[in-house]
Formats: sequence, structure tokens, C-alpha cells
Amino acid sequence: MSEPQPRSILLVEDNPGDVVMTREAMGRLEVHAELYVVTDGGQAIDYLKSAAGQQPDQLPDLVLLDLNLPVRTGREVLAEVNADPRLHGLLVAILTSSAHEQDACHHYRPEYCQYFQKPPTFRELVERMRDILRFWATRSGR
Amino acid sequence: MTRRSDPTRNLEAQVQELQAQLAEAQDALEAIHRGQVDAIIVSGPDGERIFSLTETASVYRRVVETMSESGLTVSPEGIIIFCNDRFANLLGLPMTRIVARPLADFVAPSHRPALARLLQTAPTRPASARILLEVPHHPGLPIHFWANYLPPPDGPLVCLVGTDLSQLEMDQETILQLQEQRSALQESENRARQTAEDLARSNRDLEQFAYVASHDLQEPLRMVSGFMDLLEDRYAGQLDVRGREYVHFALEGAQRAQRLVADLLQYSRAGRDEQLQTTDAQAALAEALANLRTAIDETGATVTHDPLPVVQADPTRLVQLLQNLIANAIKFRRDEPPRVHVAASARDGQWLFAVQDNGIGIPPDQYERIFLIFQRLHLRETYPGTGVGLAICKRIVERHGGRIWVESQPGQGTTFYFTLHRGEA
Repeated sequence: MSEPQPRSILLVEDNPGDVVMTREAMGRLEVHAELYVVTDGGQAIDYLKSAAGQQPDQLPDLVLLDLNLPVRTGREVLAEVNADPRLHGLLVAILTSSAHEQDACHHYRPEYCQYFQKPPTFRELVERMRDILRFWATRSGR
Repeated sequence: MTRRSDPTRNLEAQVQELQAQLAEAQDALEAIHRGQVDAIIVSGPDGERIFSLTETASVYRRVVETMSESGLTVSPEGIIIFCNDRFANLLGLPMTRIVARPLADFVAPSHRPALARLLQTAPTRPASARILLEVPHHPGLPIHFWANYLPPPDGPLVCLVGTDLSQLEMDQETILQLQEQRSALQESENRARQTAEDLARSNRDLEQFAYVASHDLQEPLRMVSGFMDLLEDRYAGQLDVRGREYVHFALEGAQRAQRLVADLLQYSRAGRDEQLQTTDAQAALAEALANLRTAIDETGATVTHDPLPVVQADPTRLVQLLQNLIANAIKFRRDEPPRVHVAASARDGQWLFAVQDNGIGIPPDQYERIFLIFQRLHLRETYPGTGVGLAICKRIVERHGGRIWVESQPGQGTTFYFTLHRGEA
């Protein structure tokens, strides 16, 4: 893939199968970004706040966020991101199985956030990942 | 002139004698009634006694005669010396057939002891008792008698004032019956409310269950189909034809299960959180048609409609309802391009909608079954789908307090009817 790519991605996903499938889809699209994986909302918040505190900040270029998460939900993660000025502008792609949570981005800023539904097949997931990369490229200005 | 025998003549004489006595007695009683008699002679166990009726007493007798309570005077043995109109009216007898008779004669046998006790007690202290009078054509007339003893020289007499309890007792009985009816009604109301609450809770539980089940089933199903797809995508080359076929069936099954779960989820959502508001059915139809644009274009369908009214409905659900019915009309078409017409008319304070098509039709014995979830009339290969569309329609209409039904001519077309409440204009 010759287009610009995110260098680092934080995947917030509690389902190991989805983690594997996401890796596979990124592999299929030849995305070589560092992939950090945390498995609940609490870890995601800790990770982001800790990364934002470092000099220079180590925030990921893109967050892939599930909504149904243990400890803290994806919505709570979005609210935390929204409340912390250091995390302002962080690009978040919501990737969830629920078809009825399009409004989740309102917990953050719609211009930095987009909702994607997890598709039923791997091949569709590859297409969805392509859409997510396009969202990243547009919003990050690359 | 006919000659008669002596016995006959004797008998005639006796009758005449008796008639004369009777007339005399009647005159005497009339006189008593009018206050023209000064005294009555009563034969008692202690011999004959004279009861005098003086002029001064007759003034009070007028009062007693005209009062609304029964008033009577009896000898200590219970012989009626005097009674007023009210008492005579109660018994339904002329006064002449009452005075000089024992009061016990007009009392139900079962109450005679009570009367005897009352008359016995009266000389020592005022007393009262409930006495059942025996009256022709009447089950018994309850009277409450207050007894006061009048000693000599005016007496000995017992003055009785009687209150008719029949109306009161009847009223009390009516009140009791009404109270019983009311408590029975209340109880059945409580039961009905309890049942309704139970039903509502059970429905909520069931909806919650369907929602959670279908929602949580999506995740594992997505894993099955996702990895089956990945397996096929990546390792198809290492599988033989049979292996690839197995993967294909597994994938197909998982995807079908996903569709069922998604439809079940949609079905359970169709019964949740309606926001009833004044909704323009015409705008809802326009939105439904926009959603069906592809299907309409592909099949060359024509959808026409009457001017549609404003109804009381959840806008999203109304769109879904119309969309499902029109999608059905297009899907179950014959070889010619589908023609669908949406009509609405006022009926019994509601709006009656009709979605009519020229499709394949539905046999009458299937009219009920088509509204059940996951019930299909055709092979999946002929008409794809899970069989949830009409179940959702039924659920939406019923949650809006309406009714949905179908009429069809197999081979000619089908009309779905449903009712909705009028919206405020």
C-alpha cells in the first residue's frame, strides 16, 4: 500500500478473535503500523493518558475502539478523551458489532470520530479496514 | 206460595239472628273507631274486665290514629283494644276485623313467644322487640314494637308503638348486596390488574430476553463466519473440493444464523420505546419508498397512493411498517411488473390503511400464519428471507393499538389492512 499510513494504532478489543481478524485484515492491506492492543476501557484510558504525558507524546495515530468493553465502556473512553485537552484531536474509529450505536461519537467530537460496524465476514472486514484507513487519511490531513 | 219445612225455617231464623249480631258487632266496632264507645268488655282468664275509653283519651287517640307509626293498645293478655289506621293498613284488614282479637293472631307463630315476653315485661319496665307480623300474600312483615305499660285506673293496658322495619331491612339487604357486589368487583379488578401487571412484566422480560439473546449471539456468530471466511480465503488452496464444500456450508449456516439473529433483534426492537406523536403518513411513505428505491427500479414496480392522513404513531416504526408491506408486495410479484397502491380511509374513529398489490396472493388458510415470526410460505431458494417482515408489521401495529389483517385472491393479488389512531390535526 503506497498511500500514507498510520504509524501506530491502539486496538481496544476484548475479543481475541477480533484481535486476530483485525491483524489479518491489516496484513491483507499491507498496513505496517505498530499495533498496541488493550482489552478493556480502563486500560485504554490509562494507556492514552500515560502516552499523552510523555515527551514527546507517544499517542497513537489512530484508535480502533470497540464499544462493549469490560471495566469501562467504549463510550466512557470517548468521554475521557473528550475531557482531556492533551487528547484533543485523537482520531478514533469505533468498530463495534452493534448496529444501533451510531450516536456514540457524540461522546467525543464527530470530526475526530467515526462509527463502523463489524461485518460478518473476513472479506468484508478487509473492506471496512480500507474505509477506516480512508477516514484516518482524510481527518489526519495526509 | 210454596210451603216450607220447619227445619228450613229454623235455619233461616238462625241466619237472620247471626246477621243481626254481626251488624251489631260491626256497629259497635265502628263506634269504637269513631270514639263513640266508652268501654269494651274483655273476657280473660280472670273473668270479664271492662276497658273504658274516656273522652280525654280520645283526643290523644286522634294523634295516634293519624301518625305514621303503628299504634295500638292491648290488654295485658294481648287482646287488641284499639289500633290506628297505619296498623290496619299494614295488615291489609279493616279495623273491624282487628279490634277485639288477640294480637298474637296477626303474629308469625315463631314470633308469638317474643310477643308474650314483651307483654310480660311491659308492666315492670318499658321494653321493645322485633316481631314478625303475618300478613296475607307477604313473607312476613318485621315490626319493631315499643311497649309501655299503662297502670290502673286507666289501665291495665299495654300501649304499643310499632315501626315498620321492612323497608329498612330491605334497604339494609340491598346495601349489603351492593357492598358484596362492590367488593367482588373490586376483587376482580384487583385480579385483572395483577394479571395485567404480570403479563406486562412477563412481556418485558421476554423482550429483554429476545433483545439480549439476539444481541449477544451476534458476537460468537460473527466469529464463526469471520474465521470460516478467513479459512476459505487463506487456505482454500490447501483444501480439496469436499473440504471447500464443508467450509462453504458452515459459512452459509453461520451467515443465515446471523440474519435470523439480526431479524430477531429488529423484531424485539420493534416493540420497544415507541415515541407516539402526530406523524404524517405521507412523509413516512415517501421515506419508505426512498429506502426501497433499488427494489422498485429493478422490478419496474409502480407504487401509487391516496392522499395519506396524519396519524398517531412513532415515525420510524411507521416507515418500517409501510416499507415492509411494500417490500413484500414487490417481492411476491408475478411475472408482470408489480403494482402497489396504498389507500387510507376513516373508519370508526381510526384510519384504515390498505396496501394492495397484484402479486402471487396468499391462500386463505395461511392468513394467520404469515404474521408469525420465522414462518415462511416458500422455499428460501424461491423467495429469500427469514420470515420476520410481517411479524414485525404485526408487532408495530399492535403496539400502536391497531389491528392488521390480510385479504387475498391467490394468483391475483393481496391487500394488507391495518388501523392506526388519528393524529391531532
